[in-house]
Amino acid sequence: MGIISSHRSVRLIDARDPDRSFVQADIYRGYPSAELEEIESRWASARDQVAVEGLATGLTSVEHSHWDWRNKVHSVEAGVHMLVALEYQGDAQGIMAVLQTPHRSRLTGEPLLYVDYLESAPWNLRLPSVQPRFMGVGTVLIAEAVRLSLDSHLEGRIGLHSLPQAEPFYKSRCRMTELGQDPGYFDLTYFEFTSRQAMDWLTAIGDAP
Amino acid sequence: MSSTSSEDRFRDAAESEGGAPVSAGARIFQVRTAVEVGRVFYVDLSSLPELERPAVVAEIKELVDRALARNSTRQRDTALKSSQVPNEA
Repeated sequence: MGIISSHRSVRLIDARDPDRSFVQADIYRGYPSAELEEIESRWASARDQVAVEGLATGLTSVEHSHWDWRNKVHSVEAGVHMLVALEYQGDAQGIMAVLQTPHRSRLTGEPLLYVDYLESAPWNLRLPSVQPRFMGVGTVLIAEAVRLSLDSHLEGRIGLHSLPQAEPFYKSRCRMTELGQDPGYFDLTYFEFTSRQAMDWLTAIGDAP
Repeated sequence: MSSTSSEDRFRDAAESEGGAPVSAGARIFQVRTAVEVGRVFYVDLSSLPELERPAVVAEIKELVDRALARNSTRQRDTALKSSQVPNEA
């Protein structure tokens, strides 16, 4: 693995353990783009399985396939994006790309951290016949985005465009402010965390800094 | 004040997430759809120096704006002509 700017230990729930015990995972900021090739090769076949299984339950393949992380190598190397990855025993369980340059909050006009891409490993999705491998990947990644915003003097503010099927997660689980469909970004729904909302949410999930 | 431990609160949050989709950011599907309906198109600017690309994009946008303005004038003229056709009755 290449140079990583920082790393800390986090928890995930082992969903295949009957007791649903915690496991220790690691979250890395400044994850090297060279790892994307490996991630893509591991995730690609798992995405195909999700696509097949998902069609049976109305969970279309659209949300989980056709997103090749290798396309992001150039923008990471050019300093446009920073990668943040969540690993369990060396296996990537989730990854996000945040913009290095802050966006403006649509709520307050203040600068915020924009989460450009976020994805959980395909085996962490609930399917009709398969339990997710780990629970909490999205929660850990969004918590890390808030922490990164805090560390970047952006006071915890973050913004992102959710894919349609992920909207309940950002609206109900994270309790972010929903600002409607964005005609300037493929009509995806835009969500923001104000500083206050972000801190309240971190406290609610037991992860206040 | 809740006495729930931070461990319990994290467990609640992680279990409520429960393997739900969490994806953010447009996929190829969204980009392709936008291309199909004409909201987005591709131009290969890779042979241009990066500093010159914004100016080229601005020129393309200006061309689109001019075409829109021409189209809107044409539509207005057509509507005006239609309203001036004498009533045969």
